Amino acid sequence: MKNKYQWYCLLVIMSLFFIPLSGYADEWGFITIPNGKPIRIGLGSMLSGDYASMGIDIKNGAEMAVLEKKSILGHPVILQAEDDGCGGPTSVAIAEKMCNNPLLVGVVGYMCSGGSKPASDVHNKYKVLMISPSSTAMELTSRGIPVFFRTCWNDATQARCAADFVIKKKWKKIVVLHDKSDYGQSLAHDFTNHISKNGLKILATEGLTRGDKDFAPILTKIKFMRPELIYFGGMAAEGVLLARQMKRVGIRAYFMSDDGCYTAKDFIQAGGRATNGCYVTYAKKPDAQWVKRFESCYGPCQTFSPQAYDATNILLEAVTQVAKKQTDGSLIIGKKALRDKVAGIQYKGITGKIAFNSHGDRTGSVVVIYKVVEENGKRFFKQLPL
Amino acid sequence: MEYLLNPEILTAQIINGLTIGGIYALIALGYTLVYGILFMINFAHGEIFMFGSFGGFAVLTLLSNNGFSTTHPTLSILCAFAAAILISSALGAILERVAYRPLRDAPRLSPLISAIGVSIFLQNAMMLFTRGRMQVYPDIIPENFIEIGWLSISCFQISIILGCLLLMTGLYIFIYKTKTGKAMRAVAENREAASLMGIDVNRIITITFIIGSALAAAAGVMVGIYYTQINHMMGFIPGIKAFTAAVLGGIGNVPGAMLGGFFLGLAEALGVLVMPAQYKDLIAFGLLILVLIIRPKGIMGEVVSERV
Repeated sequence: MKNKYQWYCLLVIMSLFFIPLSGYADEWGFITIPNGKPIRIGLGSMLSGDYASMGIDIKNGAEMAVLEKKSILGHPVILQAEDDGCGGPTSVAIAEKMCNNPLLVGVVGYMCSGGSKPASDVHNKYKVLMISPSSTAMELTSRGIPVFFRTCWNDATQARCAADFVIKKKWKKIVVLHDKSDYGQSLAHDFTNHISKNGLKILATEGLTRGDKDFAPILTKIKFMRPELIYFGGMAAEGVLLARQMKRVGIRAYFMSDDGCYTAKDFIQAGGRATNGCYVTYAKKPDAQWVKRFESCYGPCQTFSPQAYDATNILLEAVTQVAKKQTDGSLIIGKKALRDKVAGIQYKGITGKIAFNSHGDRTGSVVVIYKVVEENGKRFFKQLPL
Repeated sequence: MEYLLNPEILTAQIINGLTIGGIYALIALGYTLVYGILFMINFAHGEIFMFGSFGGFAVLTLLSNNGFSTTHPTLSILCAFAAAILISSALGAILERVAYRPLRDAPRLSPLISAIGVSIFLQNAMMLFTRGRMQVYPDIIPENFIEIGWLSISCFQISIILGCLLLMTGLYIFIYKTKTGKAMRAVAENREAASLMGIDVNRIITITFIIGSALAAAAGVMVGIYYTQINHMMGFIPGIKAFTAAVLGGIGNVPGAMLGGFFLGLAEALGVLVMPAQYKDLIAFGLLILVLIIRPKGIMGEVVSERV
């Protein structure tokens, strides 16, 4: 009896040694998807609250990619969308929840830089991939987090693009506004830096509060400075009110803002004629065919849906290439292998060619200038020639 | 400081301040009326304001879609106000019955918690209904401007200021000149004695909630037409600011709430001239602390003895 038990123990220990040898080694460990279980793709964005419109756009983009992929090596793919409330403690809680799910291969997100930053520490701890479609803060890629990538641009790229345009237009009297958020402030700061490097001066920099509706007092003060351009770092909710109220207090200056204002519904439609002639920096237009497909399912294409679609596809593509099917039907995915696959990817996405530099930033410039124009009774963002 | 000496910019800021101040005052009245009678802070008041704004939005959108608003713009706007007031008043009355009346004799903290719960519930209900999207009021009447030299004053601003003053005068007359108003003051003074005198206290409390909600609804439609943009979170900041205005003026005091609202609006608008705009809220809440240190009962807290 005793002998038999010893043999049994030995067999168990031996087999433990052989499991990694029979597959392949990975220094960060493996994700194992048992037979018949779905592969989960996480999504963290703001699905309720002030900027829920943008969060839902991101979710729609990711959902479309997942629905198109359907399955990988016989395992169905499903999207697990979570509301991270755009930042801070909630993002950390959601990140913990996602990283502790053994069936989750990676996360598309998080939406806001304020959420991506703390979440990336959690993801780094568990070595779970994250690809953000919309977090543009500089510090996300400068902190040496190996599992963070983004399919959007960073703030400096965008601010430089805006500043170059202003210099080209020879506007001299410039006022900078921001919404006091990490995002808005960093854009305003980078914009100011690029402008002053070229010898131009900023008349004033003022902050306003997210969620506020009344900007007449600030604008009345600004009107007195007689600016030629107002640059705003922030989101559409406040941006569109600024554009409207500028006209109301009688400021005859150009208005320029960032990707947060690139939304047909919340900026162009909500602003009415007051937004005609406003400038916005945003990525080059995505593939027209894709836009048609997207719009037939989800309505007008908004903000970051294309970036979310690409981010999800990159994740799915990497999983497809790295996953190894076992004899019992389960999938084994090496975490480090998955990360290296994404880091080295050369992907032809709907937003253009995607490759990442060593920090996780997208290579090449993708930001261009759009102007709101009215042609044949239709009002839309028109891409200006480079 | 150079801005403060410029009469044109000063006039413009005073008008800006009175516009937003009037809106704060209308909402503040709801806080103060309820506090005067029940000694409780109705933290769901900001959401009643938000529901009113959505009620007006629904009617205006409907009327602008079927073309009625292009032929009868003034009538459409009156319809929007009526619908908003109806919705908010009903909501106010229901809230009182469901969330506050069962807790009337409970410790003072309980109705406060109940109010916060209702506030979060209403925000989320509206979020699910609108799917979190921003809604935009249709442009019914073109905005005209009165231009005097450098100054440009919107006729919307003038209408809002006049509308607020009109509603406040109406409320003042109602409270001080009508029989129901007298009953309200009596209930505020001493609920038990009032009930011994044959006043139906429950009815008076419901009426108080209805009046407060109607004023908030009017403010909601004004905000919708003037700022055009509404969403389910729109009640939060104005709610807090109006509460501040009510405390500034002396909570429970009707003229105090009106004064507090205008005071806060003006302080915000003029404060921007002396400090960078990012300190706007600092000015508003700094003032609150200052007033409370010097006059703990608010500006008008002790001048008028009646609380309504």
